[in-house]
Formats: sequence, structure tokens, C-alpha cells
Amino acid sequence: MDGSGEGVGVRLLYLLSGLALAVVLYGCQAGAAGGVQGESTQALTESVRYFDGTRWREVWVNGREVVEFVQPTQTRAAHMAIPAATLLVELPGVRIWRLHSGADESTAVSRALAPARILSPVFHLSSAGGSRLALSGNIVVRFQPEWSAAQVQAWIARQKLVQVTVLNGAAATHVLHVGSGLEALARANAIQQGGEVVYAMPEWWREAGRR
Amino acid sequence: MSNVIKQLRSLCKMLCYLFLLPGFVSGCGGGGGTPSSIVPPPPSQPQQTGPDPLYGDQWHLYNSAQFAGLLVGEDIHVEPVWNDGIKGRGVLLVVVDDALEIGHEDLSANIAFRKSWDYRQRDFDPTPVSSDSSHGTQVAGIAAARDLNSVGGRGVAPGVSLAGYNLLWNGGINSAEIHDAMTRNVAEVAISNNSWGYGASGDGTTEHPGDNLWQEGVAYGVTYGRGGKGTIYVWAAGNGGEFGVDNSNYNYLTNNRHVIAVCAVDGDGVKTVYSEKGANLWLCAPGGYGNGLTTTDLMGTRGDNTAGVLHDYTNRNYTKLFAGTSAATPIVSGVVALMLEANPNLGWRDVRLILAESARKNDASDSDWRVTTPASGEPQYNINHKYGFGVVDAAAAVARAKRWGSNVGVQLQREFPVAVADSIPDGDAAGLQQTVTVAAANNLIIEYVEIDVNLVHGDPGELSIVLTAPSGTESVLAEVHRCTTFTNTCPTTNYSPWTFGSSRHLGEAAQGSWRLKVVDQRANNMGSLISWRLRIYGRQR
Repeated sequence: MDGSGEGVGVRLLYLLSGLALAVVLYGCQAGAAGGVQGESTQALTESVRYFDGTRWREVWVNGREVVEFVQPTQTRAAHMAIPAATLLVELPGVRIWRLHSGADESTAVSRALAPARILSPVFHLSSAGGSRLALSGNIVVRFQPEWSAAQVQAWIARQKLVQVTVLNGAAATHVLHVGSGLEALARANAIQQGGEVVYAMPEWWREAGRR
Repeated sequence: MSNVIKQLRSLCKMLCYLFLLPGFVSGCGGGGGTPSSIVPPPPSQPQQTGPDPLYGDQWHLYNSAQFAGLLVGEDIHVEPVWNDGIKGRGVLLVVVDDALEIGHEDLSANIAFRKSWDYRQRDFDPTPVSSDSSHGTQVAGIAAARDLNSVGGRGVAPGVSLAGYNLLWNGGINSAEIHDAMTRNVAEVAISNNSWGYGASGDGTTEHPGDNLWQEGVAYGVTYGRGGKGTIYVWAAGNGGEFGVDNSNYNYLTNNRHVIAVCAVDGDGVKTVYSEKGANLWLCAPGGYGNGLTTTDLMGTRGDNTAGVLHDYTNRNYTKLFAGTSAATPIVSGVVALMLEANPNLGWRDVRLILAESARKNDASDSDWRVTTPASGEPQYNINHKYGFGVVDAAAAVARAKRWGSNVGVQLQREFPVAVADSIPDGDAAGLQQTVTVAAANNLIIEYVEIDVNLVHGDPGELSIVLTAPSGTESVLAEVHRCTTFTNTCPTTNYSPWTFGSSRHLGEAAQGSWRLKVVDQRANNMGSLISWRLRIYGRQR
């Protein structure tokens, strides 16, 4: 899938119905025999698009992995494992799960959408793989500079979004919480296509390394 | 004892989380706020005085060949600066990393009150909760460990004010938080030390940042930081140089005119095996390999020092095994702190020029050394794809800073697009060459060059890309290499597009004909150059 333009938003919103999310999480497994660091690779075949603040970009869906964002104070014991998945990487605040081949998709997805859990598929910048990216559940919106603070707040309220923070020094650029990772992508794309704001983009979590 | 303290700290943080900053989503999910803090001010009791017991091991500060493999004098020449009373006082240095133990016995006296930030729990204490988050504390000790306090060793700037932002606390980075980390406390932050990078180091691939928030953040910092004089962003060039696979030119964060890219040399003054080459390198510092660097580690049983392993110290608050461009970078940050105490009026571009001018030519027999062809009145620089302008020299840099009269004016930008699509001859050493001419009216004294390349190729790892200036100075932007993550071939999009940086034309005149040469060194895969753009930053004569 090269999700472009309006079709992406429609498709991604549809995906949020649950079963369709499974399509994103599992649907491209046949074409994605890995595509991640440290593995022999086969090109990923599923991609989605997002606006990066200046132009539309494409990211590739790794159908075999899911990132879970864990609340900082949450203990492992308090946390429920994702069925049909193996914990691949555990970092403070982030867990990366590998989905079992042929797993019960609907069960996995319904658990994945349980309250207080922010889940995202794993994405890569290249169809060949590379660093993992995931959707944090937030979006970044830059408003028209002539908008008053009251106008901005009214817009956020109309959209039923939750303000997380405002970026330092960046004119009228707000971080807003949406919900699950994919929902954030869909909302960012829909807002971007609506044309009311300077830009709207999903906030990405991305692997980084100490040197 | 330490477990009790750790549990109390966790409890306090949890209370903060539950009652002061409620909700992961609304209150604790973003940066930039001004939440309440439960972190007490630093202890006010007088500091102990006395020699630093580990100073004799810190060969990067004073190299007397105290260990095998070291060469006398291959250090940063900093003692004359300290003897002059300059230790970085009044300068705020931020370590952006995985964590910072602000209560460490050899750092706490330098910690700036409420200037640190914990992205994990949204408070002012970035002390790690896990034992493996020791990197930031080790980085901090290299730059800012307190001197003459009877414990540990010394930082390059032992009087600097220190803060830490634990941007990498969860092994990754949120794009909004990276903007925050580049701009938080920007009015006061003089130096932002960044010993990290995106993704895996050493796989030979390029990866764009995904958005412009980092770029916007550092642009904001150099414009508004330090009362308009600009925050100095110092960045590790990368550790993927072994086997010639990776190159700092393939790293987005170190190919930007606002960033000082730092490479690493060993105790004999020669490039460490891991340090990446690149036309973008500004300068090197000791990074250790054969001999690691002595620095602070997490106190007690946490941290990398597991006592006895590889002959590390029995005092586990310290380690002598820290190495990497991560270790070299805070050395440069510390030297910048010394320069800014000596002359607080230096702007971010002044700092870059002084570091280039005062760097020491190391490894003199290396065949890559060249000199620039300076514009009239400009200094001539030694340049090397392994070493940038050479190894940082604290005494020379501070001496130059003291007498520096800034006259750099406004930084100007000139762009020259070339869009003549053409195929790259397969396996032909003559390659594809295209030129662009900079007219006299657009002449600048060059400070930095960026080259946007847009090409597609079956395996971009087969390509070398070289930019030649009107002066004849060459910048090797890409070399033949493997991309190890991708079964040894590189993604076809590796340079489509990609922005390479080059420091190698510093002080030269921009006017004249610039040539880009793309050579497919192996007869195998095919490809085409679609377009490229030369972007020159500098000042008018």
C-alpha cells in the first residue's frame, strides 16, 4: 500500500475499527520477512504517508513488531503481556514485541487496544528496514502565527484534543495527545489535509544510540 | 544505604507524578513546562579540598606516557589554562544523554540548580533509575568533574555549571522532545553536549530525521541562545569507522553548520579504529581505545564498573574504560567552556573559527593532510578527512579566545541548484562530473558548505562522491562501502535525497567553478544523478 492523499486518512481511520488494525499489524507479513536491524532482509511492502512539516514522506510498516509505550511508574508485574507476541526488547518506558506468525489476530488486537496502553506498529524509513520508529500517540500542530491564543485553544477544544506542551521558541507549535499510535497518524493527516493550520504531523519515537 | 536512597528517590518521583504532574497524557507527556520540583538545592557545606586521586590516570589531560601505548604530549594541553585560573566558571554546559547522576560525589558541586530535566517523570532530576543508564554520567565527568576535592579525577572545565537532560531515557527519542532538549533554558545554555545519534552507528546507511524539529531547535539555539550569542552544539561524529564501513557524512545530525562534529584519537595521537571519517568533521579529541578515559561512573554498585573486570577501579564510582566519540565530545565541550569564561562575548561562529584555527595537527605523517587555499587575509587551515582541523588544544584555543575581536558579521547563505539528470557510468573511474559556477557577485568567505544530492542507484554503496572547490580543495562526501544492516548492499534511496556537510573549505573564497564527481566504482548496479544543490554559508569580505 502506498497510502497517499485522502485515501490514507480514510484507510487509517477505518483501521482503527480493530479488525482493520490487524491488517496493518499483520497484513504485510508475507512481504516483510524481517526488514529490521540485524536480520537478513526482504523489502517491506506496506507503507503509509505523513506530512513532516514541509513535505509528505513515506514510512514502511514492519508487520511483525509492535511498540508499547509504558507509563514510567508502571511495573512489569502490573502489566499484561500481549498475547501471541514475544517481548523482543525491553527499555525503560518502551517495550518492543514481536508478533507470532499465525497468531490469533483479533485477540491480540483487542488486548492491544486496552485502556492506558499506547501501542504503535513499528515503522522504518526505508523499505529495506533500519531504525525503528513508532507513533507516540501525540501530534505536533503549528498554528497560523496570526491566530490568538484564544483561537488556538478553541480549535484544540473543537478537535477534542488534549494539550501536552508548547514547543519552546517555535511559533505557536503545540504537542497534542490523540490516543493510540495509528489514531495519531490518521488525525495528523486529516488535519494537515484540512488546511486550517500551518502543519500537522505525528510525533515519532525513534531509536537512538549512545556513542 | 544506596538502595534506601534509591527507593526514597523513586517514591518521591512517584508522588510527584501522581500529585504534582498528574496524568501521563496531559501533564507528564510533554516538555517545556515549569512543574514543581522536589529536588533540593545542592548541599551548601564547604567542599573538600585536596588532590584528585585519579588525575594521574587522565592521560587525555596530561599525557606523560603513564600507560603502555601512550605518547608523551598527546593530550589537550589544558594545565596552562587551569594555572591561569580559568576553569569554566559562569558557563552552563548541558549534557543531553540517557541520564545524569546529579548527586555524584565528583559532580554535585558543579550542578546548576533546577537546570537539569528528567523527560521520564517531568522533574529536575535526571538521575537514572536503571543501572545501564550510566553513559551521561560518564560523559559529564569528562567535561565537568570537580577538581581539588580529594575524590575522583578532573573534568576539562572543573568549574563549569553542569546540567543534564535525559532525552535518551527510553532508548529512543520523541521528535517533540528533541526540540525541547535543543532549546530548554536556551537563554542560559552555553554548550549543548550530544554524545549520541540516531539508529545504529556503523551500518553505513543514511537516515533522515523524519521532520525538521531538531533542525529548527538548533537554529533557534544559535540565534537566541546565550542572549543572542548562540548556544554551541557539540556532537559525537560516530563510532562506525571500523572496516571503513561508516562515515560521519552519512549522519544527519553531524552534517549541519550549527553543529561541531567531533572525532576521536587514541593516546598516540592517531585516529581510533572506530572513529568515523568525514568531510564534515570539525576537530578531534582523545576518545580512547587502547587506553580508556578515566571519568565518573554511577555511584555504588550501579554503572559500568563492575569492579575488577578489565582491571577497572575498585572504587566503583569511577571507571577508566570510557571510550568513543562520546568521550571525545565532552572534551571539546569542556574546552569551549574554558574559552567562554575567558571571553564571554564570543559568538557561536567565533567559537568554531577559534577551534579550527587553534587545533593541533596530529599524526603528521598521515597522507590525507592538506591545507586550505585561504582567501586574502584569512588563515590557512590544516584539513584531514580523519581529523578535521586536528586535535583540540585547550591552551591555544583559550589564548586565541582572549584576544579574539569578533568581526564575523552576519552569516550569509548562497544556493546553487543543478538539475541536469544524467546516468552514472557503471564501473567507470571517469564517473559523472557536473559543475556550477559561483559568480563574483555571490562571493563569500566560506564558513561551511552543504551539498544536497538526489540520486538513485541499485547499490549506492558502490559510489564515491567528491566535491571540488574552485581552490582545488576536495571534499570526499561518500566512499565505496557496505551497508551492513542490509546484507552488505545499501538501500537504493541512501542518497535520494541526502545532505552532506563539509568543513574543508573554511576561509576559502566561494567564487569560481565547483565540481561534483560521482563515480560508480563497481560494474554491477546502475543509477542516475537526478539533481544536486550547493549551499554555501559564510560572510562577505
